[in-house]
Amino acid sequence: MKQLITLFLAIGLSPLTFAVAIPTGKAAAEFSLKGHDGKTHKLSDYKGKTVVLEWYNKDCPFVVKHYGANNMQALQKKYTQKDVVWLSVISSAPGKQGHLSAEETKAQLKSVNAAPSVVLFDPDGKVGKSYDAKTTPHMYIISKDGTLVYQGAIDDTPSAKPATVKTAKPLFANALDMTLKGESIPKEIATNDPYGCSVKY
Amino acid sequence: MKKLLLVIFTLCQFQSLAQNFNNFPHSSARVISNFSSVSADTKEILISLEIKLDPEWHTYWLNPGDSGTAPTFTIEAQGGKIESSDIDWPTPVRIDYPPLTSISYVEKVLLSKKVSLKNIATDQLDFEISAEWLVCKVECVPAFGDFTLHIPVGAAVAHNQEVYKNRKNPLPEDLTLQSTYSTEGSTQILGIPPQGTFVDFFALPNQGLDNKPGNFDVAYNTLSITQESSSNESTLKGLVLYKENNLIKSHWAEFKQDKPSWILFALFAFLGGLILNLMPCVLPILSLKAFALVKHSNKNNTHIRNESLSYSLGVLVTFLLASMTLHVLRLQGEALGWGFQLQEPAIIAAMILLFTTLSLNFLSLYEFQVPGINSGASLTQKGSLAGSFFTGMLSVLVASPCTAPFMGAAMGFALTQDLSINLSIFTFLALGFAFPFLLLAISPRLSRFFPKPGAWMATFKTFMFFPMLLTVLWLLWVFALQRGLSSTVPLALATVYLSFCIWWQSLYSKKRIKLSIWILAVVGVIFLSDRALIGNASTPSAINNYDSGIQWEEFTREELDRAINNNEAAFVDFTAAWCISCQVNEQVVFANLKVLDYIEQNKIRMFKADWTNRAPHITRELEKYNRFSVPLYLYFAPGNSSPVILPELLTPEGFLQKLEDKNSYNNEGN
Repeated sequence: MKQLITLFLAIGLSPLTFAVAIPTGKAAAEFSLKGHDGKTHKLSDYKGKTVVLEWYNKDCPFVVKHYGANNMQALQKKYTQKDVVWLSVISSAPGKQGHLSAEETKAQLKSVNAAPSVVLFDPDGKVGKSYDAKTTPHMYIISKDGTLVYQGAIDDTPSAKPATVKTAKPLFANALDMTLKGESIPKEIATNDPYGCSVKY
Repeated sequence: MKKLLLVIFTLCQFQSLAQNFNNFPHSSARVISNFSSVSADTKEILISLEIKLDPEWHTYWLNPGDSGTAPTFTIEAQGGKIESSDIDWPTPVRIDYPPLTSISYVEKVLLSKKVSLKNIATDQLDFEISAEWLVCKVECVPAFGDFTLHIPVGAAVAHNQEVYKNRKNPLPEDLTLQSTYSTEGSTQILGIPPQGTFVDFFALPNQGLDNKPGNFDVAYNTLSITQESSSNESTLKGLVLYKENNLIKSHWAEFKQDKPSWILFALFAFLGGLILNLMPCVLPILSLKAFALVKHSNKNNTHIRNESLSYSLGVLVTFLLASMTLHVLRLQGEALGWGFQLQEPAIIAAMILLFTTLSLNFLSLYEFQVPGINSGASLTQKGSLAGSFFTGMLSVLVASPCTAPFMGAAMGFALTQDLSINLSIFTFLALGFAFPFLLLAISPRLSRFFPKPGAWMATFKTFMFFPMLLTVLWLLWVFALQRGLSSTVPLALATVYLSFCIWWQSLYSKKRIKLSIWILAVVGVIFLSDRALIGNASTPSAINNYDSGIQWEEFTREELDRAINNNEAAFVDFTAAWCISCQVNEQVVFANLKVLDYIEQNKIRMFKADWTNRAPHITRELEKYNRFSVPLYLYFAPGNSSPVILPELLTPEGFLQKLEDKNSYNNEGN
């Protein structure tokens, strides 16, 4: 009987913890951020288009792996040609690793030949935290109707070794292909743990 | 002689085997084994990567946490096929960089793999080890190291025993605890029998579990951990850390899913529904119904049974309609919960007019004649079954501003399940709510405990006008908070105008309906209500201003996170103007001097999350705790992101007790 009461109390009144993330399949959180082009960009500006969010820190070895192997740039070019809006987000706080000014961003994009639609600055980390962005890179796909359909790693090999880019299973690119074809991403793939450096909030 | 040579040879080898650390950025590493030489029939040796880290730099566990990656190494053998196990991960430590967490090793770590040896034919084993590990402080640097290890074959000689014995991080104990977990919305509750003092829990990666510290509740010996709702693993695995004799120890644990018990929640729903009868909202309607029954207590049992049953049916139908409406709207992505209709000013306005009409009924200005339905019989007063059914529906409508204990948990469960379970839970809610009348239907003889009808009934009926009038006033207040004062004036005028029309009609015979009055009433009320409802609300949220003594802050997730990060205590009151339980709790608890003192002394930041109007960000916040109703009270101890949930019925003593418990546990934990 005592156990039953304990069970009652445990379930009826139990203390709970919480997840901060936006669950996959739910509406992606709106944001309004300054871009390196000097304009303000809102997620709602891109309603009707597939949007990619890439959390970016130019000095993180895992980001360096993907840019060094020309992997990220190739993906950016391939998908922006398919009318995907590619937003690279920098959530590094001022003074922390990876924080860039608009001018520095322009130079950086040129030097690595990167081609996102725009780089967005999130210096107070608000947007990063609302998406629960944990690592650089951390990839998100938002479908045309504003639903978050993918959040996770760029591929399945959590290594900083450049050689692994070719052998890894491209989880993110596969998910984006499915999204563009209008297919739904299998549950076990749509949300996965990203790998990389921590976002420098 | 041969033996002596072997010993000398081994000693020489020993020298060359004393592996030196190779330097890498912010770390150094070497590969060692627990044997300096093996015999032809040695079955298994350990090959280990030992990493030393610069001060403040760390490397990672199997699940690195929110960022980073676990070290890896591969072992290849020249001159023999070998099999090696996965790394036997030593017990890691948690490093929090809010909002992110790393599960790490600091100073040094010894990562070992078991290597099985078979059919050794050579006189020396040559291993090539290729390793990769990431070291981070705030920034990260990867390290790639290639090592060789040579182990001669002869007599088996143990080696490096001191290194293995004095390892910094102990290996988990050789035991995997089997247990169960249950799901509550996005939260997993892992049942762990107490062993020593619980310290921490680290989940394996990719199970959808987040890396924040779990909330361990000593009273129930359970550990609650959040899991993203997208994941639905049937088994969860992780490492449990505990303290015994001041030593940190760990063991693996495997949790099998314990499906949420439908029976338990059905029981909760029934109890919640039953208690709902005692909440302040329903009393006027319930007394109205009881009054109608008293009037007929001298009638026969069949009559009482039928009345009670149609009342219960009215309750059931309304609950099921609410359940289905909520389910469909939520599927369409609307962030709604219990009492959602009260977030709509138009519905509040309709309720105000309805209750005005009902209150006049008590003054016997009319007998509620509705042409067509059972003509001549009143809907709520006389013995018509339709009347009882209608009263049942009305009771649920009036009850919706209240949440009873147990109800929140039951509805939280129902609304996250599919429609059939959802409906079944709401059915039990309805059965609990209608239970007093169902009891009467089962045993109509209970009605003989009712007081005998008599002249007092007329007085009582007139008296009931006042609770009804208060209900109207309360709804007007809610409306004023939703739409502002200038919009409330036309609505208040509409109630007076409606009352006037009803009085006017009452001048004529009760059987004769003056169509002209009805048309005038409808046109006037529509005109005035329209004035009340058009335009923008002038004061979208005024609820923060109406009580004194406490410095309420408007709730936002960001501000709460800031409070948690600043090590401040925080209390969140999810409330709504239309939520009567909320109002009662607030009046009872937040006017209490002891409570006010405690809040001030402990510098608790008080947040009010106002759900009076539709507020999807607050609905989302409620959902995190698997609630779709107010009130919900959360207390965050300083710097602790896992709140304790206070009961729906608050008392000053209960409030202080809960906060005190949480604070003292939190201090111990730190």
